[in-house]
Amino acid sequence: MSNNVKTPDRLNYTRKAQEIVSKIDETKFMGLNFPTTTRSDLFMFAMAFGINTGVSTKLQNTYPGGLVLDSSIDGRTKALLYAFSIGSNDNPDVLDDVTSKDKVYTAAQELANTGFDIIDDYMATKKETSLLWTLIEELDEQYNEMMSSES
Amino acid sequence: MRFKSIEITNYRQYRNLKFSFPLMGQYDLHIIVGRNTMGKTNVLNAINWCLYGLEPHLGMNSKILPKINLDAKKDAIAAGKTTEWITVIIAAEDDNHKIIFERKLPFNLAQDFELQDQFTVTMSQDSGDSLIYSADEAKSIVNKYMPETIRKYFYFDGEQLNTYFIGDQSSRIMDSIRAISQVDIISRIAQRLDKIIKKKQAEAGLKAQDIGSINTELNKIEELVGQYKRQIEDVKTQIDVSNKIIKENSEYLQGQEDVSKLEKKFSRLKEEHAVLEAEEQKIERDLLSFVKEYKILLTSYPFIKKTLDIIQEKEEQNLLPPNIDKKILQDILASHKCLICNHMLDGNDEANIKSLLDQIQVSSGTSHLLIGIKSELERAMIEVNEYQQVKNALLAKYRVAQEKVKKSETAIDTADKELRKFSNKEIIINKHKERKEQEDLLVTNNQKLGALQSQLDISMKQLSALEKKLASAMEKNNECARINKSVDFLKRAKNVAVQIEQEMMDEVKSQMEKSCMKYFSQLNWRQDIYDRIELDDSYQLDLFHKEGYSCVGTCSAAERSLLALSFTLALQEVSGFNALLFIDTPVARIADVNRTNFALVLKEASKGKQIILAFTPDEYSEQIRNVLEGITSTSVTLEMDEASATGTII
Repeated sequence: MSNNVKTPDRLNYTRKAQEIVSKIDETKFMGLNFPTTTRSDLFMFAMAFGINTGVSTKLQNTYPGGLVLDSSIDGRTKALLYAFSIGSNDNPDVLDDVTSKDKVYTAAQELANTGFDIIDDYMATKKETSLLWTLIEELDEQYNEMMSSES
Repeated sequence: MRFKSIEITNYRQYRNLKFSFPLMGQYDLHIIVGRNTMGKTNVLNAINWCLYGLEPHLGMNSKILPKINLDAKKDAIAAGKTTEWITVIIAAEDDNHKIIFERKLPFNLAQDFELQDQFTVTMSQDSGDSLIYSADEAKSIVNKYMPETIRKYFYFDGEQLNTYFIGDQSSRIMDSIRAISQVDIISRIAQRLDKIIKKKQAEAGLKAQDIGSINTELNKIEELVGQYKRQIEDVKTQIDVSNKIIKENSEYLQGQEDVSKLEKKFSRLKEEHAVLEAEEQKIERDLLSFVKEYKILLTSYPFIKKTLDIIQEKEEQNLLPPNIDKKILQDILASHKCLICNHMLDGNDEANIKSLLDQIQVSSGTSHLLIGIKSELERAMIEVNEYQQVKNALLAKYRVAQEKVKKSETAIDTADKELRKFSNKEIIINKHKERKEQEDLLVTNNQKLGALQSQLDISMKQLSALEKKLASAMEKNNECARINKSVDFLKRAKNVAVQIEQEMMDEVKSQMEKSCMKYFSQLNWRQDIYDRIELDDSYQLDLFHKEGYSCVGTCSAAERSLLALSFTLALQEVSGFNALLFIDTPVARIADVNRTNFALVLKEASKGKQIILAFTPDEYSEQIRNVLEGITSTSVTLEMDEASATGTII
């Protein structure tokens, strides 16, 4: 662990993602606009799409100011961010490493970066209602898989 | 009226004195002769005291003495009496009616003071019975014959005659003339008429009605009644119009579908549909929120579960939180000394720390992080487990909402189709609308009609009351007019009375002037130097010299006495007032030939009037005696009982 690494104080996103977010606010797509959906929830929603694809996209040309300040991130979002980092790691003995805030935030930002692209694609190609039912179906599948793996 | 006798008991110097005044012959003339202090003046005082309770001619010495005769007082005390009575009784007659004036005064001998006197008048009646009057009634009888206000013209003190026209006597003379000449009867009639006039005017004033204001009020109410009637007619006309329109429209709409109701139903369905759609959209938004939340939760689920498993495992190994901070141990190893106590580590120490580090896998910070996120992750797990339940509930609501929206749309379609069947829809709607408006108007107008009818009834009652009031007022005004007519009559009568009074007073004055001058000419020895006597409006007497100037102030005291006597004789002659004349020391200030004249005049006057003259022996001189002796009805001489100093008649 290097002492030179600066501890992040916000969740960042790219300029491109910023434009997508602006478009969401403008079109109120899926009710993801602010304040119907908080920026933390929007970030987690995008990150969920990123996780689903399993692809992380490094942030290039980060938007200055970031998406969400640390102080605005609620306890549940933080818990899920750390859970993703801990749960993604196969070695439970290196917990100190995987709970590093920098690593947790970086991984989350890269997944969300992928997710914003997917949302942008949905905005361009899908109607809200059809996307709603599509997503519900996906959720059902996820749930069923989850239940079957449990059993 | 004439005196028949005077009886004096225990009064002043008189123990028991009685004068009788019978009419002997044609001259009702009575002479009393007495020296000074014999009590002549006290006879005058006794008469005044008996009639009026006054002693106007009392000398200064007598004023300090009690009325009781001193001998009588002494004798009564000696006899052991506690009270002695002082009495003066005057017996008189008028038209064969006997009148007795009696004043009695009880004197308390033990206490030496006078008690309250008692005055009575006893009058014989035609029936032969007598009535006794006292107090105000007795006074009233005295005033009828010899009014107190003019007693000076009946009972003279001759020594004061010359002062009659000195000073302000005019008002007294005027009043006296008015009373003696009985003009005051007319004055009282005029005053009485004036009182009646004022009473009648007051009565008329009370009865006088303000017909103008009643009429104004009446006109106002009549106008109001007119307004109400016109308004009622207008409302009735409007009601008729409304009824007609309602009837026509009902006939037109008979058998027609109720388009207006359909329109309303259609509007209502539209409104309901909007509400249902809003409900459906809300559930859609809830579904979107559900999708967003569970996309995150279900995607995170494997990681949440794994993290919670790790936390549980660490907790089971009692590694959370660690007893020793792993970071401090690593720093101690790197510096080869204890960072707490600065003890340098040996090989054994470092081996023990490495062994301890192997056992500690989670740092303090990570440990706290894990504990911190645990509860959030557990709640997330619970929510994940509720996925199906939440989703089913939402979808069920959504389906119900969709069903309602669908049904609503169907109902709207049906209503729309029904409405489209009517080609004259607008006319029907308008007819409906118009009929409804007229029905509402009818209700309003019926209410208005009721209110107006009620107001009209009230106003009609007011009108009726005012008409009655007006009739009554007019009746009262007629009565008032009648009263005013009688007031006019009374005023004329009063004016006549006033005129008569004035004429009488003028006549009396004129006669007084002539008569007074006649007597004065007879009495006065200087007949040639005076021209006339004049009385001004206030009956102030003035004597005019032949040369034309006024000389009453410059004539002698004797002449003024004769003037006063002349005035009195004239007054009694002209007024016709038949009262006696009592003159004390009548010629005190008159001498020689004038005394003869005086005697001659009084002799003539006594033919029709009782005259009592009280002379001193000097006064009753030869000139007087030559005229009066032999013709007087009575003549007495007062002598003093020297031993008792009591007066007696000889």
